[in-house]
Amino acid sequence: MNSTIKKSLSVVMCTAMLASVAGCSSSGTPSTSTAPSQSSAASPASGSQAESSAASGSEAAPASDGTVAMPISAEPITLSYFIKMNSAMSATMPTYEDVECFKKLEEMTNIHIEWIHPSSNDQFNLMITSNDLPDLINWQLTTAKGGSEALINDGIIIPLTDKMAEFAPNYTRIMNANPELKKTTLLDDGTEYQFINFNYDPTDNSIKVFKILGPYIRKDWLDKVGLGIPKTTDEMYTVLKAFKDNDVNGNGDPNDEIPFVCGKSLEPVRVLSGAFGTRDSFHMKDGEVVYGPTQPEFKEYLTMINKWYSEGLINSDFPVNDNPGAKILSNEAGSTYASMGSGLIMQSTALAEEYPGAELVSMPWLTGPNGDHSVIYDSNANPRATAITTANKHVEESLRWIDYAYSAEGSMLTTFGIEGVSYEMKDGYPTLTDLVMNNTMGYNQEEAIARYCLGPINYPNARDYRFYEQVNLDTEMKRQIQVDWTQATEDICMPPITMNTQESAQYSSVMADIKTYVDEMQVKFMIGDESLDNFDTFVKNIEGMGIDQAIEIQKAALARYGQR
Amino acid sequence: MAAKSLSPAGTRKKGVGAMLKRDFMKYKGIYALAIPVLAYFIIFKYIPMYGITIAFKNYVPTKGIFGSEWVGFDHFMRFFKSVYFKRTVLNTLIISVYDVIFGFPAPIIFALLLNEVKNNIFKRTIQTITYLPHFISTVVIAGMIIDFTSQNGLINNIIALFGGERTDMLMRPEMFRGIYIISGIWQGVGWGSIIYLSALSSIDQEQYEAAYIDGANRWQQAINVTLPGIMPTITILFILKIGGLMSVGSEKILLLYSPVTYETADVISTFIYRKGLLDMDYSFSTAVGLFNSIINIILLSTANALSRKVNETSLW
Repeated sequence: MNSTIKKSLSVVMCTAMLASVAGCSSSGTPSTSTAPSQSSAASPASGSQAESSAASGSEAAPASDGTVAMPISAEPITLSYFIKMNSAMSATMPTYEDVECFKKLEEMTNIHIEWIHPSSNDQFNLMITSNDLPDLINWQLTTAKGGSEALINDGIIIPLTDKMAEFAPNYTRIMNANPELKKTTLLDDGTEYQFINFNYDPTDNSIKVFKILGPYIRKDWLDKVGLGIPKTTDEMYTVLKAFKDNDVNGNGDPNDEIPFVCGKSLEPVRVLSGAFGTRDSFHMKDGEVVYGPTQPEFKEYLTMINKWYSEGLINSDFPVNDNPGAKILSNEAGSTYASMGSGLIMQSTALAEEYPGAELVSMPWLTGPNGDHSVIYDSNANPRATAITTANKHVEESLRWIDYAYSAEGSMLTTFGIEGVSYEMKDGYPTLTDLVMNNTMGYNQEEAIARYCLGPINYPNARDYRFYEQVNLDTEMKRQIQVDWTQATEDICMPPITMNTQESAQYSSVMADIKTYVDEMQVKFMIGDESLDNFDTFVKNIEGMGIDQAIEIQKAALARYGQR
Repeated sequence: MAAKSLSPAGTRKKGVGAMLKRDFMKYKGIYALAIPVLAYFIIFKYIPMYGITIAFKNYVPTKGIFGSEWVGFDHFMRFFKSVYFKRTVLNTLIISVYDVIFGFPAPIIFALLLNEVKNNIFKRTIQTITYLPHFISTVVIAGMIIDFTSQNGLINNIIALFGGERTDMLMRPEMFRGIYIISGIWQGVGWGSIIYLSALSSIDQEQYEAAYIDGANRWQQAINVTLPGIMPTITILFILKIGGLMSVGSEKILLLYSPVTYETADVISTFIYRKGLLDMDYSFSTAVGLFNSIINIILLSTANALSRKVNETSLW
């Protein structure tokens, strides 16, 4: 008997070892928050510095027209740069080192960059946790735990307020010309610390805003049922109902249409709450911060979704569906909400190839029964931005190097690439050449452009607006997208407030349970697992979990934001 | 290496030391084989243990584990006071108990059945087929489960064939545990039976002959010879299973659950995942993990002590 035990124990050991070796293979993928690449909302420049080229910031910048003296460093230096790699670039290159404009930049500046491209979103947290810092970090800094203030207080990145004017005159000049945008990039006490990307019009120093997320619908299906593009939630209901009741995809089965498709991120459904002037988190209401799920409007919104769901207008598996786009591509879904590039444009091309006659078009944000017509958040509220870390030994050179991308010359180089190769000046208008627009290298347009310049990607530079005109406003469909998606108001959007370290600890402690509860309950209300008669209990429970504390924190932070 | 550290100075122990040394010299190669395993456990299991101190601190990465300030049992109190404390603990226990009731006997029964199969080709084929799911990554397995249980999936097709109604099974909280346990059995029954098959092969054939001469039929042989023969193995594995009662793995649940099924699917490990990795609340999630481990150790010791008393088989 004893030997049996030994034998079986040794088998147990072996199995355990095998298991421990094999056991570290998988992990859940945390949801990727969309990091939109276009610049933040800001009113056009007041025009105070319209003749900007003469208004260079400081004595340290040797040339008066905002150019940066080259080389930046007499001795060659190397900086490490942590930045997410854009998929158009990773498709053809291992690192940013191979982008032509960076090659040129290194030649000019004498600064070599060692690129570090994170392969997953956890890597930023890991980097912070392990305290193994690069010289430069590009990330959605405001989303770090405790916000960007914690990053400064914990000694990860450095404040740049007193160095900006001297070593980054070009960035400073553009920011000063756009005070509303500048405000969103500061800490409450006015500390400057980050460089963001924006679409810039050099002729008048203004910032152009583009929307890259929005709703879209099957135009050919609308034509079949004889309806126009819906503008209100009621019209939308009629349209979806018609999609449901007819065999609009023409495959002989009138029951396989999914009028409105949504995935487990809930995003397509979530944004509809803007038509009721609320959302599933904090938002503005009559100039005050409120918590959406406790508002009566939120009940109206849930009631509508529940109605749509119970009548089969939304795919029944939406809370667990992780690939809603597939339903669009398989000619089954009529409408959804997603991003412009990988959503609407990519899908409409693929769909039309597979199903001739199929046509996806953008539609305006819906207006609700009470006339609300708002997006639920500013999709650019937490921009990816570059900061300098405490590990950086060449702060001044780094600032000059970053700032170059905001100078007139640097903006051209980073946005359009090499003159005479990737772009040519035609009547003073930088025109992308055939080499990148209609390349024969076997790349798609974005990939080809990305081999030369940073125009298509989210990189901290003043992205020349004329790039966008050529690439993203070149067809009627793309122009219509901007018309449709920029219509909505931003009435309920929270400005990018910052909490201090203590507030953020208290906030996350209160909100952790509330968020789980709301996530869980709102889906149950939507699919009818929980009756909407219990909405009052739901509100009471949220209040019982201490939502007031969180609202107070939000209010205090908002007040500080207002005083920036 | 191991032998050296085990030989302290002292007259009586010198004998042991010398013996170990001789043993070590004689079986150098075999000792060398143990080095990677020892190193693995020391580096990955023992050294990181000092990290649990962050459960009692307010861990700030830049200050390091030693530099962060102590907060005592704050994080534990936060967990106990959380509205989800009861639910996560209960869900963990229920899934585990189901797993013990349904999942634990499955490989035993399977091994016993397999043992009765005399046709070797058939037996091997069955074994290979049942091992297969074990070698498929959990992510893929979860993908298959999602497909099977979806509205147009395999299981719903079968249900519809018999006139039942199609449902998205992963959206029904009441079905979650069933899906989890049944798919777990599918995944592990073949692999889990290996250890029992090896125990079965070590049963003395003469015992069967004796039973046969005494007039026992196949069923009686299985009950009176085979089962007692593998009982020690079953006991050891059962104790280990009890020791893991509070640790339901997070991977498969993370891949299968959604807010609709939190009610029955949210367990301690997924709770830790959300807190620790998504919210970066490292101290809090460590405290929860530590709480979990302590309960596990208590369960393990209790099961071991009971087993030692009742049937004289135990881990230590």
